[in-house]
Amino acid sequence: MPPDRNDPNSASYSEIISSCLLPESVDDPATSSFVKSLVIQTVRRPIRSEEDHMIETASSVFGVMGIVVFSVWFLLTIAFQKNNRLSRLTTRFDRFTLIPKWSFFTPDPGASNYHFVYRSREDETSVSPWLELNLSPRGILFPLWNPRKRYREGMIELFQLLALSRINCSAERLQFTAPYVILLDVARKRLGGSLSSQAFYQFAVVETRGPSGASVPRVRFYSLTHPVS
Amino acid sequence: MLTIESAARITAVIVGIGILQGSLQLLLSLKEFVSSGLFDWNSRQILAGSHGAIRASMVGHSGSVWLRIVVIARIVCSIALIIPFQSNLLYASYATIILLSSLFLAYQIRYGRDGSNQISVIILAGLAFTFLLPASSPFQAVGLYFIAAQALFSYFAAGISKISNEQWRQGSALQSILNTATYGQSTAAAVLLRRPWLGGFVGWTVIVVEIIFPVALVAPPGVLAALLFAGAMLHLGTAVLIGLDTFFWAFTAAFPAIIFVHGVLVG
Repeated sequence: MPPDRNDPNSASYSEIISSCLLPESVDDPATSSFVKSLVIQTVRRPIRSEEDHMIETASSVFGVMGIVVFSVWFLLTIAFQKNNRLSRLTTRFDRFTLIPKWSFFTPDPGASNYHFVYRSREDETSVSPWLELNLSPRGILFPLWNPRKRYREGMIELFQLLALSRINCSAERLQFTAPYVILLDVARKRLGGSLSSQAFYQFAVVETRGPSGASVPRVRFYSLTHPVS
Repeated sequence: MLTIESAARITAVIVGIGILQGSLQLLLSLKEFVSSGLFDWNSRQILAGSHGAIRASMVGHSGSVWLRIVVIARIVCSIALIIPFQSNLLYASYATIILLSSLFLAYQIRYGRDGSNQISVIILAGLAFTFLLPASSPFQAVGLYFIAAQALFSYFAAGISKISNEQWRQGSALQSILNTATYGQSTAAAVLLRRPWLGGFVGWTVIVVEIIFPVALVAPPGVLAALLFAGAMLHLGTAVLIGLDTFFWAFTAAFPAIIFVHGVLVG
């Protein structure tokens, strides 16, 4: 089969080149070296081209996979904005929260303040006053540097989950739910070393409206009283 | 008009700054995720049974050590992502490491995440894809298309969500938010209380800008610039008044991708 003259990478073509330009037939050492390198390059080219071809194929496969993944991701994001069966299914399996819900400050624009309070009881008569955990401490650089944001958002999320659990669970089961266990643990750790092993403690979630002290506090949730031991 | 290369590089720098800021803040608040903290690993151990074996192996002391390593790796990679004149393969590696660490944190720390974390994951996935493919590939721009589509949709969905809400339509939502001790800013709330029309005007401006944001893709360059400026001001405002500091970097990082897609569509 004659070599394809239009394909300089053809193995047969490079064989012809090397047979025609035998390095031994060239007297000048510089030219000989040049011809040698030319022949070597020409012979090697088909191998490099195969690599190029493999890279091209791999990037095409990767590209198509990307289109599929990104399209599914985007379509799921659109579907997830409404509360429907698909969005509930997505929530259940989306352990990495890859599918966002873009509803900033809706449906509740966030007119409420939530307060986390806790207290201890050493015996039947001596109950400590309610202590409050400051959820929104603000430094001077608050607009640019707000490391407590995650803490605040996390606590508010736990309050909302606790309210949901309260609707869906019996009082008995509620104390074994994740938000209840974590909030109870927060209260115990805040009370810290002041608790004796015979002491009891509890927490509550209180809601106010507007700026501090502007409204009458409403207790949204009281926990049971739990023994430290 | 931006090229694929320049759009991806600018996006990488902005998202890198945002990741660096968020990771440094997380490093400072790591005490909340270790013993006696709010999201204590011991509390999580109680929950581990209901969340599978993988989570169970990541609690206790080893869990908190892993968490520290992951956060430090994020800081190093975000700095590397900002530094110019490196190969695309390196940028792809940094973006992939940060992306994987984001997934790890999302899985491990269930509470306190926000929209800035989610848009950052989307941007990192698109970026890693774009940097991984060779310049000759016709699919290289797909990552930027994805980033632009998700960013534009986020504004549109948020706008629709607001216009469906009575408080936002009446113009009282902004005043309500700023009037709280949790999210608000007392001076701004007082200004809006004295001038209720201003709260309504700003609220409706936010709704309109968010809903028409997708128009940016096919609008004349002047309108595109105005919409992007309005978007940036919106995030700056929420950072200054409400303390959502990481939103600014996370969302503006998508703007170069929007400019690139605009260039492709409008020319």
